[in-house]
Amino acid sequence: MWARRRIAQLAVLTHSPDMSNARPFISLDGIAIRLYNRVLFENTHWTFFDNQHWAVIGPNGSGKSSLMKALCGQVPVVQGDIEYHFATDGAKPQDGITYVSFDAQKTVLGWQDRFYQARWNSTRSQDGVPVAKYLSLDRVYKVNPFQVVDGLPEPAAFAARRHEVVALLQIEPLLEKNAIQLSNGERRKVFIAQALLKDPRLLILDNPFVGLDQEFRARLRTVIERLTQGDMRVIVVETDRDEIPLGITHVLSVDDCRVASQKPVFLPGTHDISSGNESSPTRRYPKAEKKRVSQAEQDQNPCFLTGMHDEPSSGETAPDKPDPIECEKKRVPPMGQSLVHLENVTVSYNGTRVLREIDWTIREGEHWALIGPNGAGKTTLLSLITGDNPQAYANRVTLFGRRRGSGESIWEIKQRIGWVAPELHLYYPVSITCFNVVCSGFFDSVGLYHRCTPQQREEAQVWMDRLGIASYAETPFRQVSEGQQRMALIARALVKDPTLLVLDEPCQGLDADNRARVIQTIDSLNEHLDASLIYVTHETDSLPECITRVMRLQEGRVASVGPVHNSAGEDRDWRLKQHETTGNKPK
Amino acid sequence: MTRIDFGGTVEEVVTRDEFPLDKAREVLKDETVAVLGYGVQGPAQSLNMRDNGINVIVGQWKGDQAAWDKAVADGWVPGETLFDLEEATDRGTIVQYLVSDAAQKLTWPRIKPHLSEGDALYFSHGFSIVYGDQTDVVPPENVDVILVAPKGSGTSVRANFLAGSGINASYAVHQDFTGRAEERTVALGIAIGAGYLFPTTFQMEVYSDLTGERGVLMGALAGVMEAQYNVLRKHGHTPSEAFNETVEELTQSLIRLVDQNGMDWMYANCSTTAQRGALDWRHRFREAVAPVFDELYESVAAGEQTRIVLEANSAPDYREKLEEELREIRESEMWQAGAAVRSLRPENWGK
Repeated sequence: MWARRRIAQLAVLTHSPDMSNARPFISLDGIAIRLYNRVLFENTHWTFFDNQHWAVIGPNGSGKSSLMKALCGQVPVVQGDIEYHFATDGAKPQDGITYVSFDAQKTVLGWQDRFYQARWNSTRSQDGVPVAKYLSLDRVYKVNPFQVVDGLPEPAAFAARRHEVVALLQIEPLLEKNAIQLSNGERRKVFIAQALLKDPRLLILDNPFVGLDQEFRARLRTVIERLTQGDMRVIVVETDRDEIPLGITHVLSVDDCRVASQKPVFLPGTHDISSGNESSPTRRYPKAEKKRVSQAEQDQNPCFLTGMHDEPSSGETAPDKPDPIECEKKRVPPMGQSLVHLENVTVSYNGTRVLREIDWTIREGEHWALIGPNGAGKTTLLSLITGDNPQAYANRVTLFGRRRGSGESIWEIKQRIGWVAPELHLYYPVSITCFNVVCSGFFDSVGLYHRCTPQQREEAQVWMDRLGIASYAETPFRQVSEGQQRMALIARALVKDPTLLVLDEPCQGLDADNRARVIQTIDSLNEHLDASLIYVTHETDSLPECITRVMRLQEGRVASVGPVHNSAGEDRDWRLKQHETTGNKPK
Repeated sequence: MTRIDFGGTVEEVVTRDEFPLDKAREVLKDETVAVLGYGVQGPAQSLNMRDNGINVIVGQWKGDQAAWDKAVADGWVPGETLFDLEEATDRGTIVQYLVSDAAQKLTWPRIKPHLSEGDALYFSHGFSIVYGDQTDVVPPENVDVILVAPKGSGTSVRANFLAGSGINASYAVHQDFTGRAEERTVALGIAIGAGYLFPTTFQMEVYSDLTGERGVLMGALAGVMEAQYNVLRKHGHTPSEAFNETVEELTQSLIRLVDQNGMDWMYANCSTTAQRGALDWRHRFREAVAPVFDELYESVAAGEQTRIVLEANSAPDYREKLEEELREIRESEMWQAGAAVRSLRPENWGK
């Protein structure tokens, strides 16, 4: 079994594949695929050899996920052929491929018809499937409970493997939970576990690191690296090259629904790689867009992917960030009125307290980062602020100067809050156009049920222009990529000029350009409009510059709360990293 | 009131544009709404009203621990906003009687003494009042007796509200003691999240409801499907074919066309072979079932259906018997085949 296999020397990975012994694993021979009414990737050739593992890299909307779906047989191939050389007689080759993506979560969980807020209501929270069931033999292997399947693994062997996977990913505490109660990051962990249990010939992980806390990312990197040393082939789909985990040997670059390049991952100075400082699983390639990493530092860094130098790094095309020190000068002192006041707040489900004794005050003009590991209670805490959690009525919660339960309506609260979150994305109905998705922000509705005024339509247009998404305004939400959908939801949060912006992992799944655009927009918003902000992320090294305060949760409690030292950008970064990793050190 | 021409008959409806939430809140500003029963409609209506800024409390029998816990998980605080039925009735100026029809008959003697002059007694179903001779639910003369019946399950009432859409509802006034009964009723309809409301009477609401669910919505639906499935099976068709031609094609395709644009449009979008046959056979079926529907309506109006319901639902082994009858449907070949057919739908494949 792969998980028991001894970890090979890292140096082994750096050997270039010996093409003479390699056999093709999958080959694409002049294919084109159809997505709705468009034909994409015309005349694409790609050979994936069986001693390779690939990263598929491209910006949002470049077609990378569609290409992967074509491999899985979920999107039709209209020209040429995909040949699956690993296929055995009688078996459908696509059954040997497991594809883990945000999109697939939607389908598998069957949650499209459930509204995100319902999660907080007792009647709905009892619905749904226990996590353990997602990791059962039936669920993992019998894609259809009525299907008569031959050759399933022995239950005992499966149980052993399951034990191993659960231990490897350290998800034991999640098994007893109900799937609908999982947080965004926890859901991702469960899906990765399910995919590993299936032991596919090819595992495709689409944006696997987003929404995961630092500790789990490090673990996942180690897991992927180990997988690449076993019999499984791996494709990792990413927007950025700097997320490519070790063990990946080749990069397929995708742009504008074409293959732009196919190259081996070239690690200069690879002879240094076993010299000790690289053994930490937390090692990451430096962020391309992170300006503070000097070229000199990059040159010294043995793992920087200089093999990619022939293409501009995404950072060079990203809009400039405001200077952090400038930002400091402009900041309004935190003397504003209290917008959010939580006093000794506790939230319980079935006797389990998911938030305990939380005190938190957010004043006008303050810009907060809300951080903490997956499952720490961040989204539950936000649900009290956005008017979605009924337990707000049983707590001392004051929003915009008014105590919850004093005759206010949730619509008055929502009117003042611009909100985006992975859950909103997961539940948002897909049939309306992106423009209408943006317009629904004026009414805080999920779907659009009101007629917009011409002025509202104009404002929606302005925001779509500003975020660079105007070109697909009239395209149905379901027909644009996950990253493009996310951009539309961000515009939805911004259209109404909110008093408080609540951005829960807004950049999840966005490419560097879009991330920079979003962050720059947030920063400039704060300069001009002085909206207050709560920003949730695990990416503490790419926060908006104007974040001045941090609330860190751990296991439902406040682990630390307070201002960030911000006299210099470096200081601030350092401090945030401490926040993120304290008590949560990667193993 | 907005006047709408429904196929030649002009009816009046109240939309939330003409009766906005602010107006509903103004009407209800001095009221305490006590929602009795945290079952299906209770949670949905109480949560929606509270989220709309209405002063709401919940009354629930403590003996049902699951329902009580559910209320606590939804932020109702025992002793502050969550009480037993009697105390909630005492505290409420509007009492929403949302326990089941059978439980209304049982609990009424305990509720009635706690109603005060000028209170409103609110129902979401006219059953207990219309069949008062059988249920013994006869309200005192010094209260308003009103009704708002959402046209959807509690789950949709809540989910549609949260999504910012809404649900249709009918409303009625049975007894107007205060002179404010209608205003209160419409305000409550808007407060529970209705998109628009149309007027009815208690009796019309019950008769149509009982007829509809016994007829096309549920009883006739299952019966007609079973008859056709059995004929196909008798003549050697496979279960998957029989189920597809009887249920799957209807629920997955044709009824959606009806939903969007009406029956004629669905007919117009089928093959000419299908059209011709459907146009002819629709008359045959209508004539064949018309006498059954006549019989059904008479039985409803005579109170016979009510007698059956109350008798069955008050039997001690009611739940066991119900489960047995549902099991028979579930385990029948037709619905087992149905489960397999559903699992093969593209959206379920791979789940």
